[in-house]
Amino acid sequence: MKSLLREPLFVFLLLGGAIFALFQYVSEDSMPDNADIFVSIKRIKNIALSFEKAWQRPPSEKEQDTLVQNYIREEVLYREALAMGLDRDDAIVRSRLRQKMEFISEDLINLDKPKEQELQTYLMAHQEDYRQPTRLSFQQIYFNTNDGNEIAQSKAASLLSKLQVTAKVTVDIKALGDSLMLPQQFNDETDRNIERVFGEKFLNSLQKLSIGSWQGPIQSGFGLHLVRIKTRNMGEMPVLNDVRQNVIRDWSSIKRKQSNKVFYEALRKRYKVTVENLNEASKTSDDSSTPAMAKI
Amino acid sequence: MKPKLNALLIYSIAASVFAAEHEEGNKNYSPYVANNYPRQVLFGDTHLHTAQSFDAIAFGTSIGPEQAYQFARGKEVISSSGMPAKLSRPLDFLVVADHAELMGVMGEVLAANPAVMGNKGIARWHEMLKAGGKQGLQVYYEMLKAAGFTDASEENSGLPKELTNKKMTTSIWQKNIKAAEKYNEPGEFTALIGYEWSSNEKGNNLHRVVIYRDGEKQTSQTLPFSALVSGNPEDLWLALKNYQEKTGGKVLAIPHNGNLSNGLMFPLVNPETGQPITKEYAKLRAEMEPIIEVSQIKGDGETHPKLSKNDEFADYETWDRGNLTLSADKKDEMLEFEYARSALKNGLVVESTLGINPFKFGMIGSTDSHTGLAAVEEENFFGKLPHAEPSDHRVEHALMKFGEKAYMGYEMTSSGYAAVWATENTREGIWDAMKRKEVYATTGPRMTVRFFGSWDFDQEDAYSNVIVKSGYSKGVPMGGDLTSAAKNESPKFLVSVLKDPIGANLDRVQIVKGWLDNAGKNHEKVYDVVCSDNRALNNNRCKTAVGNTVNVKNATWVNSIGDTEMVTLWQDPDFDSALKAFYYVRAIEIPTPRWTAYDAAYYEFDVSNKVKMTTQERAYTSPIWYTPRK
Repeated sequence: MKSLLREPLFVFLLLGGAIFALFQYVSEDSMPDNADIFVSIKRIKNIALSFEKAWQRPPSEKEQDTLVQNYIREEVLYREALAMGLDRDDAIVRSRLRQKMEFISEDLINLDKPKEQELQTYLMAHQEDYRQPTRLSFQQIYFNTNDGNEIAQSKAASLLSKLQVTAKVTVDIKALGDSLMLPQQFNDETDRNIERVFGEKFLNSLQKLSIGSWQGPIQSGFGLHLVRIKTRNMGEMPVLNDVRQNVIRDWSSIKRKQSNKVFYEALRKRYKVTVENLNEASKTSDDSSTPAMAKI
Repeated sequence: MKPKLNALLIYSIAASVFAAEHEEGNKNYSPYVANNYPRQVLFGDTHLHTAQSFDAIAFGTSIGPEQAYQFARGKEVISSSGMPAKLSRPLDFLVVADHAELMGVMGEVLAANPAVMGNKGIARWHEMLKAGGKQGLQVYYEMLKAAGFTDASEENSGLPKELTNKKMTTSIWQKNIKAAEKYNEPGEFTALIGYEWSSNEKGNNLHRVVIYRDGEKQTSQTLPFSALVSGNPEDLWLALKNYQEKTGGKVLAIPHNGNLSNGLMFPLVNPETGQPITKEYAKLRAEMEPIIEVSQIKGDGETHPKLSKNDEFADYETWDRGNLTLSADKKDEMLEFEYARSALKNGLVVESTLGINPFKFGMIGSTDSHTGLAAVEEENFFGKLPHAEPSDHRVEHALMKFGEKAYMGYEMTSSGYAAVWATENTREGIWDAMKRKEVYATTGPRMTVRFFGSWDFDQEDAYSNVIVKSGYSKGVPMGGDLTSAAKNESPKFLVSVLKDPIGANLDRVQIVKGWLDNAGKNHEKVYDVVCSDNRALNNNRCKTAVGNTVNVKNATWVNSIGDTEMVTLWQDPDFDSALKAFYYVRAIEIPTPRWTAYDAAYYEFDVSNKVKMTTQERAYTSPIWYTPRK
């Protein structure tokens, strides 16, 4: 049944049924012949109940009579108004009916709870959004560009060649380079945090470097950096249970948009729409396959 | 040659940063064991309106809370005016703060809910809202007027009673809470629950953003307090206290736009009573309003050039023509009660008479955008309202029009964000940092600012690799208090500022001091404490200006001037231990193109002379107060 709910055609048919049922409910008191008005016991009880809610007591017999007469009056005028098409040019009625239809559309989606397989498929299709962050451990030696980029470049290059010579020896880097209010060593830092500290450019360069040796210099918003990556742990793909709530949230958000679109388009297909062109006197007409929304 | 500063001055994340060092004695190897001070600053917006705000509906905003969160978290969305929009970097937190007034009801007017349509005036508004554009805006103006929110005119009819509908408000309040619950991910991104109380009697802005520490369980027990119930801030504070008692939760309020209050935001005489503010007022205010929003799209509220005549940087994005609806002009005598610096000064005066300082607040920035988009970087500014989203005409068109008077598009300030030194990125972590005022304001850039005060700092603390640890162990951070000065000792302050990694360099760092003399008169003084490019300090001022690399026509600049970082240990040279004082940091960037220049360059149009095209963005920290011990 649930998979059926995802079929636009089925949704449309179901919707047709729902609208029909709604119509039946609204006009449950009407007999097949539209000239008959039948007031059921259920209806009378309903009328009495709303009176009771407002007045905190049941209506007297006379009051109930008046209420029923009033209901009949409303029904007669309502049907005549519909017959005369008075609803058509009434902005308020139109807005209200539109809102009701939109509620029906939303309700249909709410019925539709995600299936395990569906979430799994969504997760697979959007892996990168849920991947655990890549974590890097690295050291950096900073060079400011106060005296220009070239001087910083050559200072960095000269230190780099020294560091590469002594690659096997553990070097205390604390005294090397220029001062910067950031750590020289980062341990298991997420890529997102590295970006927020050094900027996107630095992160992109860092991601391209290999592990083990001093390299660079690479640029950040602060200046140049020699870097040495110790470890790089690629973020793992989480299993559904680790990120279930977020997957449901994102899946529903997209599903809602899609379903509303499908709902509207299914209805829209039933209409051939012609829009007069303001500039030229000619008419543009669309076949039912293109939703009017797309043109606006 | 700058002193060599090692790691961790500003950003100290991992416990094992000093992996190369050896263990000594019985001390823990890690200098951070058992220390729980904030290591990373979080940036966010505490004041964002979405399509659930009554005015946003009139303005044609289509971005609801869910999309607002998605955008804040770095996702691309399509704006209300149909433009793709994305932030340069995600924010760490967001407060969707829709107006409490008419919350949920306006949507029902738009949808022609019969519960409100019986009223002819509302039915008319419905049609105008549906027409949208100027007609939609007109509904907003008419509603403000009817509510008495624009002026004191006799004709103000009051809003139709159909518009006070608890059921409708409840439905939207629950919706906003649910959206926050869905997007709140402790450690990753925080969605704090909140709303805006928009007291605007006679057009005077007394607005507050209300922010909860709590989740759905507590916040859904009460409804937002509406200014249609009471426009008196004291009633708001009492309502918030009631919430705390009823639910065991915690909540605070953040005033904004004193600049549009016409002298009422930081009063010495209570506008409700016409009498000097009382001890009860001061106590309640100090308790419920620990911070203020000092910078946002409707102007900057740190100080005014007429209040701070010796401050060359005082005239920054000044909005001083009148109140919010321009129904009453600004008079000079109002200014003192509108701006943060003068309020901080007056707070010292009140404290010396009542024993409590009602204006002992920290400072943050936020957007107050009504587009659902918290986008206030100069080159990525999405404006205050959908019709002020990027276009070839927003600069010189009216932003809001009240009769003959208007706020123009170019007056919008592309500002700001709240920077929070929280111990963790959670509702509790962020709210607690706000409560203890360990926060600062930026006008958009994400510079990192540390500020500590102490009697005991020495030069070593500024160079040490545990400077943050010294800051916390020997002193107090921004928002803190100093007392008990030793004889002839003047307080020392450790300041460090690191530029936004993708932003402009720094021009200078300043310390702003305010104090109360023996005669009960208050004073202020601005000290430049670091100047970029090795410029000399002369008489507490950088001797020369930093320069300007902005190419207005192309909307570009280069970081060939200014510094990446600024650090100093500063001691007050004019200290008197008998006098109450406060100190806060103002950090200023080099000149960069203002958003108007980015608009003109992108859409290729010329602007009139009155439009400012460059800016010097900045950060303001919460103060550190000195109070002599009696």
